[in-house]
Amino acid sequence: MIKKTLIYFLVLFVLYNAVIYLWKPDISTGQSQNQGNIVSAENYIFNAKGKDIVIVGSSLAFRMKQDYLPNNYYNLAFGGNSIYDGLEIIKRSGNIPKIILIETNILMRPANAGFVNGLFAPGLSEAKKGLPGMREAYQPVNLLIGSLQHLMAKNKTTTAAAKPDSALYDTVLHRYRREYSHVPDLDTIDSRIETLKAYTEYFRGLGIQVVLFEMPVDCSLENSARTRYLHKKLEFEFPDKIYPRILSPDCTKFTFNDGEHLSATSAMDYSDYLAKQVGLIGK
Amino acid sequence: MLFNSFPFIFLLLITFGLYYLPLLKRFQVHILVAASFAFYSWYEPILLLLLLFSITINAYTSYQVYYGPPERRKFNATLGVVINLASLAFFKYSPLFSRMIFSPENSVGSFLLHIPLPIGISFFTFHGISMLVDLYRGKNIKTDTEFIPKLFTQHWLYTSLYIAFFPQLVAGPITKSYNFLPQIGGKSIANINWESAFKHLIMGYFLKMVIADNIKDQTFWIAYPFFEAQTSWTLIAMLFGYSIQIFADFAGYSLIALGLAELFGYVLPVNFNFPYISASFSEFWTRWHISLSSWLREYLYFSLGGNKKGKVRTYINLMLVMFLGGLWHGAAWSYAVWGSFHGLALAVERFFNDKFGTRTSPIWMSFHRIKVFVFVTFAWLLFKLPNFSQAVLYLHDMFTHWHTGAPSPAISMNILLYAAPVVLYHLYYLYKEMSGRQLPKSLHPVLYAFLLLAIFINSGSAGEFIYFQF
Repeated sequence: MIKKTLIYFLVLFVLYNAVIYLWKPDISTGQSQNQGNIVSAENYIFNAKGKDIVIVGSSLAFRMKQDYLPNNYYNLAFGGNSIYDGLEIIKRSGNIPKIILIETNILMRPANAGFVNGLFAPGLSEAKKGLPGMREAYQPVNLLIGSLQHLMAKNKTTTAAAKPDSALYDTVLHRYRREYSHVPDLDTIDSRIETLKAYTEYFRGLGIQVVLFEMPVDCSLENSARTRYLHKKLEFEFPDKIYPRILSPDCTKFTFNDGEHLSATSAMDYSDYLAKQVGLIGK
Repeated sequence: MLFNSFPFIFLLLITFGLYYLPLLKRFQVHILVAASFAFYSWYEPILLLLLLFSITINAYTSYQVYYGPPERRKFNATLGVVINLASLAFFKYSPLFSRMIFSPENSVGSFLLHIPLPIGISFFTFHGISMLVDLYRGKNIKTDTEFIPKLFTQHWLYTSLYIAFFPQLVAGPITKSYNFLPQIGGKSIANINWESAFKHLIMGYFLKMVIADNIKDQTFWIAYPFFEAQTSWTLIAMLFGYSIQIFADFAGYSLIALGLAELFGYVLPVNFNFPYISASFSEFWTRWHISLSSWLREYLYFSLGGNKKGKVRTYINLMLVMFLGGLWHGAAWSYAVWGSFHGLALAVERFFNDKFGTRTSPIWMSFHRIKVFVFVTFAWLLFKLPNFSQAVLYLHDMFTHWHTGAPSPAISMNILLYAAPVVLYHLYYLYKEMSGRQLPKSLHPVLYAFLLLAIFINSGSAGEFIYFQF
């Protein structure tokens, strides 16, 4: 029974990998936020060709879908994770871009070592490189959902913007306001800035242009104690001459799902804005 | 160390290789004990001291119970049990006592609050108690063999293996000493039940890595304040998903433990027997975490008098045992309330059965199965949200968010997709029981090949086993 099982398994496994290798389905999302992050990271690790501008950030920058950005951009922002994870992935993957855009809104969130180590687990990482069927994006469930999404997108004639629930919006915004009204622990800020500096200096050493940028948030959050403090701190620690900064544009021009995360249309607008600003750097 | 981590696979291969090396046959128990200590101390080596303390106390007191002066047997057994319970209380319940008695600023309170919870303590202390009580009672112990080795050092070694055997060390199954100790001895690779071990391992890893680890990312949102943004439908789906997840996680772990133990020639007790087809609460507890419920029945419920002291006392005993069983899971009142809910359900069920008898028509049985599943599922909420106010808020949102919140059909769809194998697994068992028919044996290799394929190509991100925290 064991021998037969293993033979059947091997046949199925080889077949599955062959199908994926030949088909190369375009899957960029996962079944959950966590898996979506892994899919995005693996897509970058295993296929970053032509992506010479990479965005790292939190769920705020994650709103800029790959489709909204120019072809040479790769969005390595992760919902629930931090900029340090994106930076570490670029470093370990060896895929060196020309420009790295670092979102500065969520600096306090620490690195998720488990997430990054999982991506580069010895043995498994090599196996995923050679056997695409083992990659997160190509899980049968993802293929099924991906196909359904393609089908639904084909049949969709209009894209109605989802209207956020106003009561919920207010509740969440109120919570954000409370959070933003405090300056985070100063030792933690210093420690995070040190970490960020180590990365930026490392990448600059490789000849990569590092750009800091800020995602727009609800105007009441933009004028908060936390935002003001972080602006000053970043100005001091990362001089404009070395690290160009793209500040948040007029917040009144954007709409949000919860005060912090851009709505789909605003995410498109901001993606355009960001790409234009990046184009102006050095000119 | 996680069963699905590379360090564990490495440890397993090394241990297996050394264990069956003819040259080292005399040291098989030593090898397993050393591997178990390495397994336990992987993340926090300091905790090995506690494990060694527990082993030594249990070895010494049990040796005294068996070979010591007869008039001191009760004293030695009591001493061992008290030390086991005291160490469990100190390490597991100090934070709870601290919160009840001291203010957060109090230095003693702060000290108690920060005592680390050693992984697996609830399991290995129960092993120790089982050994002491079994030896004291003398029940189920073969007197024609040397149940406890005469040489104390050898007894210490055997106790170490019984308490620390790595497949069962951190999350059970809780093995009774009279089942495990007689199994200790020389093992041969020729005697391994490969097919059984293989099936247990594949099914266990499938349940854990494909079902539980994937659903985990969907039920992640059962956390405050995230769940507040969900609709009633999503909240219902997530609670159902958690019910499936906790089963797949723990049953998966238990099956892996069974398979691993078989590789070393040991048979551990079956811990899950299709619990979600239970048509009564008492049946549920003969199918869910069987090793714990049978431990509680044997060492606690019977000690309290069981059902031999009248109806009212029986109801009280049921409530008390389940209350303590709940508290065994975690140092929070929510676990005690969870246990009490189950105790109350058992007592009420018993009362109605005593009064009106049981109905066994297919329709009634189906109704009871759904009733038990729904009750059990709602009760799991206290595992996921040990904070009462959050659990109540979740229920409130579940019944009021029909038109509020952001619809997340993907969450519900993924949960249904991953829950389907577990539902089918239970339905197939039910069908097998009712019709007496089963899948032809020739199809087993195909089925297990697909399960293995799913492990390789559709596993979720590795997550800790839920029961590790207990």
